[in-house]
Amino acid sequence: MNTGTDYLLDLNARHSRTFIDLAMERRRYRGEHPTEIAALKCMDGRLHLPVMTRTAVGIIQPFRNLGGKFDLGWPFFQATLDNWAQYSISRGRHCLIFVTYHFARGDVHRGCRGFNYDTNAARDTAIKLKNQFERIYGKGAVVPIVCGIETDLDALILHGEDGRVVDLAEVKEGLSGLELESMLRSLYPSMPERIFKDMTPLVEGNIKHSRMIRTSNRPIEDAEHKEWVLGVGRGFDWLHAINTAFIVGPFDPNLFDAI
Amino acid sequence: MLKGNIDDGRVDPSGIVLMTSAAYRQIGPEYELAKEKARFLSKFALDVIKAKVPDLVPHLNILTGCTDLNTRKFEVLERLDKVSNPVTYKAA
Repeated sequence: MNTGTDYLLDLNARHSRTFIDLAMERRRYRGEHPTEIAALKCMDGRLHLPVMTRTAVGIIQPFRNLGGKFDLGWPFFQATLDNWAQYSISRGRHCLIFVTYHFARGDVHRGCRGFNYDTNAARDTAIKLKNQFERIYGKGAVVPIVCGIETDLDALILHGEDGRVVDLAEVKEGLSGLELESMLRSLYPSMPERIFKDMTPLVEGNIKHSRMIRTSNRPIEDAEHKEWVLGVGRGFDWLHAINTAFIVGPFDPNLFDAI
Repeated sequence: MLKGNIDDGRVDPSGIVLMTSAAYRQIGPEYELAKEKARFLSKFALDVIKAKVPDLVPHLNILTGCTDLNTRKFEVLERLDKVSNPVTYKAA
């Protein structure tokens, strides 16, 4: 393997084989957890939810743009997202949408460059977008939740319906299934049971993953930007090597600025 | 940000890749449209980089293709290895 391009093509070939091999397992998982899950994320290459939640690729549908900034008024984004939601609903499935922002607990300058490292602005924008989803899709079948992604420990920060926040890296060790369920139900009291059940494995996966990152004492430089690929377009979820690519979806009408 | 990673010595400056992908599920017009979209996005992104970050251009390797969402297989439409192998490959 001689170049970065060769590495990418080899990675894709290996990933594609694995993806095909796991087709039946994915169908089984989908049968058990039918909720369609999407994540609106920044283009930042450190944000890989399948890795962070220990979920197989193909379960979480990613949408990426600079800063994780989206607006349901954008024509192409609106059409793509609505197609996804309508497809899910037509099959009798709920939709769960992670509306994310990101930051690093150890240093503000490892946070989101798309927001000039202003975590409050990034979070407020995510809240606004979540409210836009609720205004358009109402409550019940399509559920958006605000979720911070803390990149030093790869931890999810869940924002509850009443504004309370739970940092999954701070969840006590040995939390029982019942305690976890109780915590999540208090955060999302109106969440449909089906979504609740399908979200729980992702939360459990992130608790385990962030704990593993903490105990491994991952060097801070590994959490710094090291991307060497600029990906533009869609279909990149196979590129699951963390901190490798900035990925810009074709959603922003000002694509020039996003790139 | 890519240029910053080069300038700060965090990445190999000869290995920067501009990769463009369009996704499709079905052979036929959807597949053909994906190919057109990928080529358009590749040229568009390169034009943006030329206009905004011209210093990055000499470092770029370019990979353009489309991804079959049924298999996640990436099909190469165009490949330009500018630095280590200055040969352009164009798929049919």
